[in-house]
This record gives sequence, structure tokens and C-alpha cells, in this order.
Amino acid sequence: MRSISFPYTIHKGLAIPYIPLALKIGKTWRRFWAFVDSGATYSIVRTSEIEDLNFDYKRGKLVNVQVGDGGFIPVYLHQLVISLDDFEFPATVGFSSRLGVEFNLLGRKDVFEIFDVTFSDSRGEITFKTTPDQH
Amino acid sequence: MSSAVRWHQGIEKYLLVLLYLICMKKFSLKDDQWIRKNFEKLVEKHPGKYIAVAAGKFVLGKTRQEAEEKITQKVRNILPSVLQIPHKESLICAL
Repeated sequence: MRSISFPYTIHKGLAIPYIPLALKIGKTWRRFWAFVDSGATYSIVRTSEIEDLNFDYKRGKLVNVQVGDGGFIPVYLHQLVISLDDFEFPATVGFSSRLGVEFNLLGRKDVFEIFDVTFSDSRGEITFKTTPDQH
Repeated sequence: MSSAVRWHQGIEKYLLVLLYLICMKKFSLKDDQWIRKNFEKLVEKHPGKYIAVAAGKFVLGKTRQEAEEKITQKVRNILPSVLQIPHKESLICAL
């Protein structure tokens, strides 16, 4: 079992679950920061972060995802490899040009199935512990 | 050796370096720590800009591409930690 911890990012005393990760897009590894969001079904990366890559994100499966104001945004889903620290795993990752926030999101699909995720405000960290059936 | 051959070898070397950079996944957790440590200052001074940090060096850019290009001119063998610095208003959110 593997346990990976990230300290919260702090701003004005507020703890923000904002963590670094790497994503393999085609043959290219690229590093992102993402807001760990247990309320998000999918991990979503803003397309402004990948504009310079030769990656046709619109070839992914299109789903409409409801956001906080009740509207729906188009998200294109792909199967990619995420690296948390040095632990790599396949995950569904969506891309959207309409996310509307300044964060990428690390959502539940695959990520919360591979890991038990603990938000500990008392310890000031988020822990990803692989579930027993993972290596 | 003719200049054409030298040019050809130069291009080959450049392509190999490019391929290495594309495929590499070497990064430093210290760069992430640097971003965390300086997060409040960055939000205060450079909201909306992209910051790229690699091997302790950092650059700012208006776009992710600009920041990545600038940092790879300074540091070639480390995958940079890059984020768009959020505006302080967006840090209190209901996601």
C-alpha cells in the first residue's frame, strides 16, 4: 500500500487543497496544479493549459457537466496517465474551455477509486492512500 | 567536414534533445515547495499570470506557453512546475 501526502497550500490562513501533479498527454509529460475536489465527478483540465500541445482534445468523449451556477459545460474525456509524486496510474481526464474557474480540478472518477483520499485540516495535508487492490 | 554535414549533425542533436525533453518526466518537489512557500506573495503581486519554476529558477508569463518557453531557456532538463496564479477572490469558492 502506498501513501502520498501533500501539504495544503495556504492563503491568508485558508487551507486550499491545491496540489501538483503530472499528466502524460501523448508522449509529453506536463505538470499541473489541481484543486482536489471530492464534489467533482471528473478531473478537468482547462484547455488554456494545453493550447501549445499538438493534442486534439475534442477527439475525446463529449459529456456535459453541471457546474455551480446550474449551467452545463462541455467536457471532453480522455484516458490518460496521471502521476502523483512518482506514482503513475491511468485515469479519466476531461478538458474544457469553459471551466470558469482558475483551477484545474482533480475529481473522483478513477482517482478516488484508486486512492482513499483523506482531507486533514488538523494536520494540514491531503493524503492519497492506495486501496488494497492497487499495487 | 562540410558546413552542410555540420548543419545536419546540429539538427540531429537538436531533435534528440527535443525528443528527450518531450519524453522526460524528471521534476523537483522543491519547485512545488517553492510555489507553496511563495503562494501568498504571488497571489498578491501577479494574479492571473503563469509562473514556471524549475531547479529553483522561476519566470512569469502571460500564457502557459510563454512561461514554459522562458523557463526551458534557463533550465533544460527539469520538467517545470507551472500554475496560473489565481486571483485572491477565486480562492474562496464552492466547487
